[in-house]
Amino acid sequence: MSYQALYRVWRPQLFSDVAGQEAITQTLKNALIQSKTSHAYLFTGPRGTGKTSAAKIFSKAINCPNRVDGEPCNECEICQSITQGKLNDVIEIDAASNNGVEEIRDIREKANYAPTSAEYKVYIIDEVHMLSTGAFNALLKTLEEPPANVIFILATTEPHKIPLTIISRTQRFDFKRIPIHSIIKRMEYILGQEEIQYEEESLPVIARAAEGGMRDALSILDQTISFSQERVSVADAMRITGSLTQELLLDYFQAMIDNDTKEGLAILQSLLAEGKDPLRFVEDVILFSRDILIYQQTSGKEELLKQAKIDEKFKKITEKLTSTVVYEIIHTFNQTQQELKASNHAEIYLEVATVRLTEQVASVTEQRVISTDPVAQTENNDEISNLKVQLNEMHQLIKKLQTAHSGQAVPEKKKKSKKISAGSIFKPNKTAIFQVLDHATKKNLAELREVWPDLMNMLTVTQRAVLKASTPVAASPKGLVVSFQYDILCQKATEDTELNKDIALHLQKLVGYEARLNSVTEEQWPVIRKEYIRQLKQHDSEDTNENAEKSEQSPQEKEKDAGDELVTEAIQLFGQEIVKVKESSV
Amino acid sequence: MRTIIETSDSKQVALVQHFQHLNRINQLGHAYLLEGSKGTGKKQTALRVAEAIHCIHPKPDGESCGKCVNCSRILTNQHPDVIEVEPDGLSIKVDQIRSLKSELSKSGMEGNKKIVIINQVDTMTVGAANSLLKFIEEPEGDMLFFLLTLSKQRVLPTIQSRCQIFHLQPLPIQLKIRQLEARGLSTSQAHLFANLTNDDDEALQWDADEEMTQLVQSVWRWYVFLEKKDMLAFVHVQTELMSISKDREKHRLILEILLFLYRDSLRLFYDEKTTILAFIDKQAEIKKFTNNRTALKLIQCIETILQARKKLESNVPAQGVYEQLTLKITQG
Repeated sequence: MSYQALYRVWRPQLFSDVAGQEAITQTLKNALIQSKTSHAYLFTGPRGTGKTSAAKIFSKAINCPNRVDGEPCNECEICQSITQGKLNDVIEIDAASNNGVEEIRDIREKANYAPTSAEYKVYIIDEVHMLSTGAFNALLKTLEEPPANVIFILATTEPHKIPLTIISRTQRFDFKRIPIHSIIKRMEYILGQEEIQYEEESLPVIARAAEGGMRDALSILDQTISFSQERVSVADAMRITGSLTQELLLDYFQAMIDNDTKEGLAILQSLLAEGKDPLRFVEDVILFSRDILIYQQTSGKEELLKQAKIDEKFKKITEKLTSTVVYEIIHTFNQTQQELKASNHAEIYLEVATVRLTEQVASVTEQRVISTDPVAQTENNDEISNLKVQLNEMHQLIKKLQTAHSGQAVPEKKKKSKKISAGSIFKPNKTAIFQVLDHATKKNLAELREVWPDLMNMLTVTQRAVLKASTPVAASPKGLVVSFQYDILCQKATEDTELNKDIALHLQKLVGYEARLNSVTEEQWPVIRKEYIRQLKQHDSEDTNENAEKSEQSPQEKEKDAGDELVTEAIQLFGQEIVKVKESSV
Repeated sequence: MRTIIETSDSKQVALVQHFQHLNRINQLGHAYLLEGSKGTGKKQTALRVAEAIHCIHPKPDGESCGKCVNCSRILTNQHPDVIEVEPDGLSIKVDQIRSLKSELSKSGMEGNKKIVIINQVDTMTVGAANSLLKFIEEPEGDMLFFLLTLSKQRVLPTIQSRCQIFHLQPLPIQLKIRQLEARGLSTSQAHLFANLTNDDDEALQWDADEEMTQLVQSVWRWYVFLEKKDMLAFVHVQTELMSISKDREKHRLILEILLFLYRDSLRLFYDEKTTILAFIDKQAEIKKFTNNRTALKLIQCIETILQARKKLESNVPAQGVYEQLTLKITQG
């Protein structure tokens, strides 16, 4: 006789042996005791929870002549022949292999014959989710009203694949995942019976890795026994399940707290090199994070923890981690878990998660440190920017009124300025540019750059020629700044009122607002930008003082230079005061 | 003919010895799931165990002699009691499992244990996997299943729970590099190929392949464009990458190589001295690029590439995938 796997040897033969499903086994026993059994049962649940075992025990119990309290005796001829799978009246069918209508028709026909040696004819249809639609429907009528003394037991891991019409004709029992302590108890019993030595601590490790499946647990136990030969040790259990020691997990968490990405990656590398299962690592981290959360919230109840053992190091780590960080860890690893299942680049996914967490935990903690201020600050900022916008709007309103009043004076000067500047180097209109920069946003610029080619297409050929060697460098809803490669083109663009009007018009169509064109040469642009930034800083520090000072200075400069450029600049910069200045200068 | 044994010797010695030991004390289970990436010696391990079981003159420690009739027949794939199942086309079909089952319902040809080796179990159709379930749980008669897979996550959990699972560890990368160097590869090639594959033969093939060298260089240029945020990267996809790579395998390699370039970046970012880089000769240049990057930006790039890989696997046209990748990395 060759060696038999533990889960085959120790398949439960009594309802009381089925671990972790007390509610179901008790219900079945009571039904047997009171002779109120149904003619069709559906057993569903994850792998290794005892569906097939329960079906077999039930078929024995209902046929056993020496039934005691709903349990089969396991000694009579009928019980034994069922256990060996020899009894003609208990038919176990693998629905995955016999999934066609033909096979079901066969069952239907044979079900009409009375049982030969036992009292009931029991059909156990395992993996029933694999039946074809036709087969399911062929089964429907028989399942609803089978001949007397025929019982159907359907077992499956995937109840969602069973048609509702089948489910409604059966009594459904949902087998739960077996709790860890039940698995441990059962393994203790089996090891005791097999007379194998074991370390107490090794069983929880195996039970956790089994994820609620008794067969998984026994498979792993089998493997551990064959590895350790004499004695089931914790180290072997850890190695076979690929579990991490608490020490290693704590080191990993410590690396996250210290934002030591290098250390985190090193830990990851070393444990993968040891052959740890990446998926188990992810699960261990999530479970451990859960334990940390529970520990923090329950102020240290050890019995609620699933994995962690409370020691000095564990306490220290839980003190340092905040729940936000732990949530972040769980979230990231949850995502990684999804990715891992569909990929064979486990190592890289884990590295990404590690880097992200070690870097992010940093930012999260930093945020927390100054958390009281930033909230208030952002609110303040919002308020300030709102005020600024309002102030600017007011400024512009005033300016409009002014230009309306001094409508005659300004154009005259502009004409003059043209004559003067025609020969000289181009001087950009800094004020206007600064105003644009005040409102400039990245979004506007991006928008503008996107429509720039369209804009070019809308212009006439000569206009396009002027703008050919130019690029927009800044934009706001009120205006845009364009840099030109050549002075001469820059000059032309500024002077060409037709062009300016057209651009404004076209932009209105393209982006929905009228923007004024401001030109600048390529060399000047960086200088102007720097100047603007400088000014902005000054404004921030000595806002009111400066304004007053400048307004005093400006009249003097005016007289000296009389350059019309400066006049316009002053108008736009200082608003009200300039009205007076102009009057005196004219 | 001895090559199988020699390579498996160097790959999974401990595991094979473990099985031989179990065989000697008659404690072999009936179903084992061997998981491991390509070239980790899954099949060799299974064959070695089959030899050990059937060997006429086994050595005292349970090791097969490798010379007797049975051993040589297993080596040449001719033993009637060692049955191998390979995917028929892209997957293992129900009919294959059915015929396997009817084959196994007969008693062993030579009266011994029957050994079934199923390759790429993950490619089994739903029907095939399910019809194997009941059979593998309580096989009738004396038999031993070896299920081989690249990733156990893709195997039905109900099958997993019926097997003892072994994860076959690939050789440490340092060792792989040394082996490849011993077989005549240059240092830089050995580093790159050791990262890309576990399979020595594949690496040697690549080394001799002119197209592969071209591919690597092309991806390198792509990487440089990407890191400089040069939009030529976009043009590069059309002009070079698309013209070099004709089949899916090449496309997969392109992303793989790019992935390792960014992974090297990440490692160099943290100044790791211990780890083995894929692009050992380009270290200085990669390092220069990483200086203007943050770690979060780098892992964003890596994630983008991983996403691109997924898209490629689900049959999105390669050019679109590359172009999207280019835009995401240069503008992100």
